[in-house]
Amino acid sequence: MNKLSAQLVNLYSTITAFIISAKKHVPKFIEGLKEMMGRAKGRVKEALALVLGEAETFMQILDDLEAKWILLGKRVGVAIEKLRMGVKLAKENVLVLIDKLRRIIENSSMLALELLGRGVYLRIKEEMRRILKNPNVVREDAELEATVREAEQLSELLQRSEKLQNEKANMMVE
Amino acid sequence: MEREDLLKMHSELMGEDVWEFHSLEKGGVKRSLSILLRGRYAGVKYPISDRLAVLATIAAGLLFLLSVGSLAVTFLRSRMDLGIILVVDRAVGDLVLGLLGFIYSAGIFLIDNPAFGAVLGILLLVWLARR
Repeated sequence: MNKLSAQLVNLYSTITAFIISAKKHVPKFIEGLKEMMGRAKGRVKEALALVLGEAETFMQILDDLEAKWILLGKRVGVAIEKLRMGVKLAKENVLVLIDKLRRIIENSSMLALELLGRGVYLRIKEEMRRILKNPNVVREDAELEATVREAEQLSELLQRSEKLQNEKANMMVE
Repeated sequence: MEREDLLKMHSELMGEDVWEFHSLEKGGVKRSLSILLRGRYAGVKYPISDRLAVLATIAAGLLFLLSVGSLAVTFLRSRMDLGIILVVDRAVGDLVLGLLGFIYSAGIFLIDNPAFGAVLGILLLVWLARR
């Protein structure tokens, strides 16, 4: 692979990791804020509402970014193929794309820092680093979550069946 | 940067499409000459291999013109006494032999030339250093 196209793929996967990790951490943050708002009163509640509004703004930004991410993926693929085939002006197009991707990453991470605060930002960055190091982590996490959900459902079913059996036994005794 | 600036930048980035150099794609000759002579075009710096590729394209074009000319000359010279098949046969034979002779003599000349050898060595060194 060419140096330029490798750079392009690297930047694109950075954006992907950013979206995945933000989609994981920001909803958790919003849920926590909502729980705290339920308990808080007065000025604290107002301050929490402000923070919540900012977090929801960031979720909208993330949706925009996800929509753009799909289009950019198409562009990146076409640019790499053109570069490989030696189409005229492919190099300039790739450079423009690289510049654009870099600006998007910079802007969205600065927005995350501005709107969500340092804690969530650092968590997102750490998750990004983890995903970029080993992309299989995403799949493994999803599989783990699915197994945990299945186990919870099974335990609920077990509890229900135990209840029913107890009721039946009580009925028999009566 | 302020929050408003960041949000404005975000909407700009999400709104604008990637610029694809449609307006520049017509200037093929200008671009090639710029790459060959200056090594840069539209703010992009090109390596020596791209400059050599332009040079090779020009050389190939000249060779094509030469070959077509030699074919035409052979045909015109011998149209009086021979059939068309023989004419084409002789023209193609002449062309192949002429091309082989040209390449052979050019190779001999370049290998004998010490300046060319030095240039070749420098290019090889540059290529190895850039890898």
